[in-house]
Amino acid sequence: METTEKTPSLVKMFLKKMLQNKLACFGLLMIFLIVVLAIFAPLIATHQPNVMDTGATLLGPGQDGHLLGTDNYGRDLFSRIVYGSRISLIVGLGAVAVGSVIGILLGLVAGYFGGWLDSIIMRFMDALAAFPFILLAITLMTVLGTGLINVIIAVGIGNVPGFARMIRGQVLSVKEELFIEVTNSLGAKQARIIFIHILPNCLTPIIVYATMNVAGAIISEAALSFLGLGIQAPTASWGNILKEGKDYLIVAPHIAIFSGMFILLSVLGLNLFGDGLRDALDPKTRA
Amino acid sequence: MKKNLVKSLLLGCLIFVLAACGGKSSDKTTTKSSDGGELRIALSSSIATLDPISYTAVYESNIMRSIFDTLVTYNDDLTEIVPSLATSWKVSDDMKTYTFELRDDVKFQAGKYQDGRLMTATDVKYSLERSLNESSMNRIRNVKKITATSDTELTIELETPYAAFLAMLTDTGNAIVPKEEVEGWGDEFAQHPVGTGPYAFSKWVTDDYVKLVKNDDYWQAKPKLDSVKFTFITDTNMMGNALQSGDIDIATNISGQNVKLIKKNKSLTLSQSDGLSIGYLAFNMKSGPTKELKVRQAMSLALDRTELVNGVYKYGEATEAYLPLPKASWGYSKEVAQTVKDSSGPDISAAKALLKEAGYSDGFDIDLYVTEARVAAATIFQAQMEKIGINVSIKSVEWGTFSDTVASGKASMYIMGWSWYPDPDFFLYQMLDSNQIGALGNGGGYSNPKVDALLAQATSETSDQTKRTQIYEEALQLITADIPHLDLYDQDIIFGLSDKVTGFKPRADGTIVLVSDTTNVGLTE
Repeated sequence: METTEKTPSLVKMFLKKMLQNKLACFGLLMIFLIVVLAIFAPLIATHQPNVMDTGATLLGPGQDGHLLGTDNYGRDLFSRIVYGSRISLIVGLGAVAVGSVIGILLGLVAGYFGGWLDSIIMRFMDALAAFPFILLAITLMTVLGTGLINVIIAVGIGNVPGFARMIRGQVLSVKEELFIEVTNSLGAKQARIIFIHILPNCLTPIIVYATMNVAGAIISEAALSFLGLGIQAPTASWGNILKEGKDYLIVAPHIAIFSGMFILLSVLGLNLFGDGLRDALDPKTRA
Repeated sequence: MKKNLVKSLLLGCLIFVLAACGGKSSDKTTTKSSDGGELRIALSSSIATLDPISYTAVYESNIMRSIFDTLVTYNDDLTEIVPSLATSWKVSDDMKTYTFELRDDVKFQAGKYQDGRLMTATDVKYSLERSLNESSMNRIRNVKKITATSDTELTIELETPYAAFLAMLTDTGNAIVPKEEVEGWGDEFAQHPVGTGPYAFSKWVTDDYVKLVKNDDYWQAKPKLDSVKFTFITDTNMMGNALQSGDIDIATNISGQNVKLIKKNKSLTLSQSDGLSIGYLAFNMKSGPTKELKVRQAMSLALDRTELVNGVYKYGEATEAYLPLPKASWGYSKEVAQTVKDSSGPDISAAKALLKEAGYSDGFDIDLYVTEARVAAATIFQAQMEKIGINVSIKSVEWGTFSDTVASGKASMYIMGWSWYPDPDFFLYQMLDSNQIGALGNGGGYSNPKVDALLAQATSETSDQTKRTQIYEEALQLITADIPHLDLYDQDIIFGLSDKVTGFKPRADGTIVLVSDTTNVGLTE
């Protein structure tokens, strides 16, 4: 009894804290809904997202069996937004995966080994971070060409410096801890020390930071698509829909409003959840 | 966490406040004055120069039209070339010598280096030679020699007979400028232009506006307005808003929802007329599946022009087109257009049968190059081609990449626009003559020796417009049978006008002419 009680108590405490935080729960609900939309898109969508009907363009919400109306090509807006959630999630998660893997590796190496290696890596990261993010992404898109994979790479690379800096800071403090010194003196290999002992101790901030960055990546995809550099027509992405809605802002505001709202809600959800996660994982607030 | 929320809310409020401010403006100082007032015209792009020889964009020429004059000009509906600074002209029998009689009462606007002296044939010679030698824009070519035989007479000898020569002289790039000012200002002439036009340059605030003031000594008529202010509003929605709120009197390049909004507004007028601007899809004639005539015929049959044009131009800003020549050009042939229309689709089963005959029963994958502005047309075309199994992938690229790809003949298909003088030579020769392969015009690599011969004949054999029209009609028949293009639409010229504006006549080339022998734009109270 006693042994089984000790381990879940941490998880229990975490869950308790999360559940107490209403905003974080709301965030989690948003994320859950969007994930459901993305996974079950073919079941949820009422129409084919790319089928045009030039006789029924710019219909308002609820008209003619179109839940959220139609866009300027007569495509069902609800179905496009539902399918668009896939693009947003893929880009959000993919870009953060790319950014975090590269960033974490660079940060670990820089922080653990220090010296000239640290200087080179971090100055390079500073240079990357000094670029306004959207400019960097636009430059990369121009070089790589448009398309889903390239959007993920471009947004992902923009995320690298943030991860690298954060991990390096963590590593610097963790590697001074007594247990690392002990592991070292016992003759453990460096790779083992880095990945088995240091990395797990940096995980908490990584999780929080990554959650927040998914939101950033979703916005970046929308921005790139809005500028015509992201996902290509006719694939539905929230940014594409928003861009098309821009030209009909007065006669058919629903296009921009609904696509914008989904961007807003998903980003808000991720941010609130990330905030809650940080509070719950922070040992200082763990009463 | 709370801080973040508060921040987001504050940011949201700020955006709403800023958005609410956008439409309003306190600038209501104009149009009250009784003797003319200030006309405010919005152009959809900022300008880089006001020097005729170096201009590249229609926005620049729209301002320069009021500052400068050309030797000859087009009449209002662009069907005929009429006198301007030249009162009359003669063409020699070999079509190689043009003799112009000039007006003797034309004065330059007063400037820093001359005080409004008379314009003579020497100035015309100077200006045309300057355009010939210093401009990289090729706005005048094929000239052997220009001679000022007296103060009011000028002869121009051509290298080869060229019937479209006068059309070139109507270009603002060949406007008449005073030598003292050009040489006095040097490179700064582009910021301090002086000409013979109805309004003189007064002020240019970069990326904001250009102001012109009345030229009381104008030779044609006394301009009605005190001043003209050209402002630059790059966003079409903002331009529509500015017109509705009374911040501008004339809005240019109106499209999309603004058409509807202006029509609805009782104190505004929508001026819509046929334009000289065409939109077309060009095929690669040298490589890939599109080099087969049957494939092109199949795609022509699968195309539903009505759906495409209505889909892209929801408010009727363009009309379906069947020729590589706009309806507003004098060379347009209704008969040939009708023939193309009759043989066009949509007829999906016939299109599929043709594809099968060409050996593509399963369809094929192909790229379609466009710039951002034509993604809508490409998207609808893509959906239509899918019906016959052709999988079109849209490559939306920026203009530099687009023009490089197209000019080098690397694009399998591309959608582009073309607009120039109403003389068919500037459409047919530029887009479809073998000599233009390697240039942006004939990026599809179309080559038909018979068409080349006819296009040459049309400019070298006669300058008679009726005879030339017949030759172009013959050329159009050959061209449309080869289907190097799918001609999609003719874009209309659409202005939004405040009801205060009087005497404004829209022209098919989109130029803004404030004073001419038939117009003198003014403002009512």
